Amino acid sequence: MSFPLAGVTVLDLADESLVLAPRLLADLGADVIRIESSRGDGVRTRPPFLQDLPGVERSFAHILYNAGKRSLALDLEHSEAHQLISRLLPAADVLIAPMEPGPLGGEFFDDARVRALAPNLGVVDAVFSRNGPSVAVTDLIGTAAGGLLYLNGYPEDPPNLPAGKLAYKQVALAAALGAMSLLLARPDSAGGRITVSMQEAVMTTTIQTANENYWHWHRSRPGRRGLANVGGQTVFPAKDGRWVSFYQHPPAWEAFVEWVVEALGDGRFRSGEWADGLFRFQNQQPITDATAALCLTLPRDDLVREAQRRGILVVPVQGAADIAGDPHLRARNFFQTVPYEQLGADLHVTRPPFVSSAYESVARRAPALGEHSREVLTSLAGYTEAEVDRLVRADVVAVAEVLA
Amino acid sequence: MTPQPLAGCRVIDFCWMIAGPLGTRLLADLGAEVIKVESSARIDRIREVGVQPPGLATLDTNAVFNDCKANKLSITLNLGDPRGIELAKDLIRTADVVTSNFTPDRMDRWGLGYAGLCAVKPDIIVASMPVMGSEGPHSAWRAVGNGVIAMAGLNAHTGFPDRAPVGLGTLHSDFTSPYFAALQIAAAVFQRDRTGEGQFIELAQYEAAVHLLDTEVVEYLNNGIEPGRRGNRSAEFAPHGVFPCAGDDRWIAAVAQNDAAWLALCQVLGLTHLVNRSDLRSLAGRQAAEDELEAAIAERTRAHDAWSLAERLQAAGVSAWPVEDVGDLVGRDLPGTGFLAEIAHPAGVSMLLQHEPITWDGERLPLARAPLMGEHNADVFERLLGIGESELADLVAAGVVG
Repeated sequence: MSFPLAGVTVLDLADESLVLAPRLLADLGADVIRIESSRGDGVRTRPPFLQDLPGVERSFAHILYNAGKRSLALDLEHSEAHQLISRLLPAADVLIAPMEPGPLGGEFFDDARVRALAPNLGVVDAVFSRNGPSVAVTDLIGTAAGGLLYLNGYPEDPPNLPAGKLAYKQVALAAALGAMSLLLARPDSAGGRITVSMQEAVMTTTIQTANENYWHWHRSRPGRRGLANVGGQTVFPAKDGRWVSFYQHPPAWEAFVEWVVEALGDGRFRSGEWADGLFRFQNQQPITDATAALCLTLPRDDLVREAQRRGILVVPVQGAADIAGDPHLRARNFFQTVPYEQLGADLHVTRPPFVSSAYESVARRAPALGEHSREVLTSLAGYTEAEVDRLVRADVVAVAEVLA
Repeated sequence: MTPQPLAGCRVIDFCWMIAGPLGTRLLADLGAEVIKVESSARIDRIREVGVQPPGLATLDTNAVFNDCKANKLSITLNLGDPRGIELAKDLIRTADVVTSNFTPDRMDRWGLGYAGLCAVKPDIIVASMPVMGSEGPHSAWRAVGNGVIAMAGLNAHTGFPDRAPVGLGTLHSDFTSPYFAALQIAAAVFQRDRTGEGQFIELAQYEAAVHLLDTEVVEYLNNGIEPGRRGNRSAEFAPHGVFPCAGDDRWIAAVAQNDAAWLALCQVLGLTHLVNRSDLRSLAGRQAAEDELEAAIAERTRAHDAWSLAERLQAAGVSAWPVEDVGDLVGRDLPGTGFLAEIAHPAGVSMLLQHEPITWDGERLPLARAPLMGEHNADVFERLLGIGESELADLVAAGVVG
């Protein structure tokens, strides 16, 4: 049992937009060193917090996105910290750079400079858009720039932000694969730089709903359709007021027709014209009405069970509480308990999604701020203990002792 | 020419619809030889679902299909015929990776499950992308992308608090699962190159989609509180919203990402009466007045062109961008970036395809159009299995190929 990226070292200087990328590389076994501000960065200082008490070890964003990483905490405003990071570069295989340069400055990641210091180091960085101005990046404007925001919500409402920080997610996913690509390309093509565009990454999520050829061929701009998703309305309330997602999968049409007969005594869809998919597409309202009536005959979970038994694609609309209690995920050991020594508590988290016969994915703890500063500097950057002591006294390096 | 790190890696791809094929498209873009196995008896439904060129709707011209299947080869094989299964195994013997996204038992019933394929090719990497995963009480549940995101919490946590859990306008997990899967497969190739060992990979789309949420699940697990739908607001910033602009359905997204940006926002919009309010100099104060602030901002933004206003706000340090639609992206922002490639499709139509959203040392990855159904039968069967023209004709006549 070994992880695929065992032996790979990743330097994680990502800001919040990219921070999932090194997390995924850590899930696959890479040694990910998060180089972070000793004051706590935006991932550690944003809400929500454990027990609603703010603190750099207590942000759920940190617990989620920094899981499995090591922490090197530095005063990033200090020039000695810049030198120290430069000394670390040759020890790493891949560097994930921040989207906004921050205190290190954009020149720090300049291609010629990095190549001179560490010719074999692959670099993944990101821009908001290729040709646009430099902007203050937030997830909301990322969804706006990539065409995702425009598609979400009701036609009569303003476009509606998706949950999940999905612009950040998409750019981080592309960055993670970019890092993997740089690793695979070695040794034939050592070094190299992959640059992700957030605008483009977000646009890849609109391939179906607002494909570029809608404009290219038809000059049309698909917009918001409220509950009418691809293939008609899919979200319906069940008898108990909870919601289901009900997808009219064409191969399941006959099963739906029979269920409507049995549950509602309504046989109108048995007539021949309804067997034609195009006719159904052009006459969606009666189908939507019957689906809504059908959903009101059973509580959510019974409805899902009955539909799936009949081969019809109905699943529950779940919030965080439903997900946390899902017997399917629980049986798959998706929720795990991890001791957090720095908090003196056990926390409940999710395991990585990667299941393999070669390794067992397990949930891991996020590091305390500066927990690994000393070991990283001595083992990877060639500092002596005495030098580290001096850097700590000078407030360039922060260390945290975590007692198991 | 960018590096092709998966050059020499052959993928026999049984995936269909979107989520699986986009994952193998990512591998193809990195240089893998991805051979899509189709059958005219069991057409990949995504060939039928998607925008088509004016006056020309065919199984080869739909744009969604073409984006999902670019850079691949296509062969047609009838897996309902035992000889079709045997040919599939012969192809797999020459391959590195086998991919599918059916419900878990489908490949086993064809005799193409992991155990069987290990006998054919001991170091094979077999990747399965089922919706639910092969184990667990709901492993047989079926869903497509909008069901996956509904289960994974993206509906319940998206939208205005007093409205239905509207979800997303995109079948969103179809565009995220591919990255998780391609990453895991690429890592397996990396591992095999170093250890000589293959592996079985399972990427359950539902589990990957739960990882799209922000902190909602971990917050519930540890604090016992399920956060509600917030509309366009944020716990981190205020104001944080989408505001009307001049024109039909034109909007600007704007965030005061810190106190200085708040003052800059007021100045650009001429909200001088708010600049001096001390209660608005903190996030908590602005959140307490969010209704009032959003109304005041919207009243000013609606007179402005979204593009010029965004430019002024950005120059002042405010996180702002016009809410772009596909016309804005294709017609205005993306020309000159190389992200969209215009190709001449053999059906006689110009078509746009998306590159990966990356550059490698400043260059785009190579991009070739999606294959026509069965376009590479002669090439693949001859080159990999030594099946010549007349033998192939017999297989076609027997309904094994086609």
